[in-house]
Amino acid sequence: MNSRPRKTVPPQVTRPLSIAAVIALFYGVAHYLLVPATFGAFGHYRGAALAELADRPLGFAGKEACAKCHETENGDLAGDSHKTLSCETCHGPSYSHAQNSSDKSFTPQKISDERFCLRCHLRNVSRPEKFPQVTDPKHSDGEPCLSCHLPHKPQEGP
Amino acid sequence: MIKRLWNRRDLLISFGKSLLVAAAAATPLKALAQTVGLRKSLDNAGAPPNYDPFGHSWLMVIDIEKCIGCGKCVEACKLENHVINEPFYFRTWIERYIVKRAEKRSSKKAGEILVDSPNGGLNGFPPQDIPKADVLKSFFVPKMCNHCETSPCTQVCPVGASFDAPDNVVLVDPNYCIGCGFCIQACPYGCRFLNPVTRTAEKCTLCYHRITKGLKPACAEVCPTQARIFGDLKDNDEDSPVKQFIRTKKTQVLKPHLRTHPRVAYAGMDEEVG
Repeated sequence: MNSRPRKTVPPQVTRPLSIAAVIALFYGVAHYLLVPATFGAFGHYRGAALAELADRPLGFAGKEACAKCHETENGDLAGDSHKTLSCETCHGPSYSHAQNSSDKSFTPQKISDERFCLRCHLRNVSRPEKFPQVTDPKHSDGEPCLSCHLPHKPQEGP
Repeated sequence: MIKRLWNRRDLLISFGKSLLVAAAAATPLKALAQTVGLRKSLDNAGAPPNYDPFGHSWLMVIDIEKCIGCGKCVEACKLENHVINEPFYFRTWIERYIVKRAEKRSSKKAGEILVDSPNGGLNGFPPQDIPKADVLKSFFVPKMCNHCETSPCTQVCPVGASFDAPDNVVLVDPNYCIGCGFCIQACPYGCRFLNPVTRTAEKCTLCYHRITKGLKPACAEVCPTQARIFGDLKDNDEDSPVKQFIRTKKTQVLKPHLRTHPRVAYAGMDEEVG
């Protein structure tokens, strides 16, 4: 009996192999159940996070969207010193208005408050020297800004 | 005598050989699968629709000499991203630096340096009551996440929720963040905070929902003096504002000695700014 070579794999090989197989199986199941589907698609993170972070509602529409309808205002703005401003700098986030202007439940802000101008143009030692600034009330003798300056054409006035 | 079919030596050798063969076969196969499979199915991998994260490289440049401290960017960021208003948390904020004059006949270049940021600059900056004669120089510095190329914050994330996207934006996956706060400690620029409602880390995303649709980030959109300029280094327009800016201006980054390689460049920045 003993002289015949045994064809079976000895237990010192099968036992660790079977243990390794169980560990591998456990790892496989845990990996399948716990790791999100897109994890590792681009790097050590969930790939789907990119799409999720990109899929959020917009607030600001952008200047081009405004210019599609408001040609006059956009033209006025482009020809004067407020040309670097975006419409929504003053009128607030207006994406829903740009998408559907007939919906009157939301309309972009209208500016009538004098303090609005002063937020940028009140004299402040920290602002760049060249930036136009006024020292209230000497500049206007108490007159509202809008009586001399049109926001879309500040150099021309009414 | 027992003649063994498997002796230890042969077993180890054959095991080693098969490992080598498997490794040699797996490496090119895996690389091939990654390049072909990934590019073919960006959508399946979780990329935003109609957007190739490998096709862009975003950069923000800020001209300190143009910033007037109106705080419109801070306000726009809060409105666009629904950043919690109070207590005051910010994804972007403005700091005001006031450098006082040194005493007369002193060897110092400058005197006391005052830095403040009332409500992050959200409502603009009221004029300060320091006499103008005492001010050597003063300026505003808009701050935000620097989207570092070697970002310390993403390196410490234990779960892979904070990461560098392929388009050079550093992002947080709010559905995967465990709120441990390591990244908040790791950021040398103080650009992250723990959202008190969701209990997850939050930071500037460069308005990822806007830039993936071809729009500018909200802060760059509303900036009245175009102190913030945003653009893509991988686009074909060699005269885009951002490329012109880095070509014509001398720029630097915040805390360059930390070797974080920020993707927010500043022009006209003084040595006091940290």
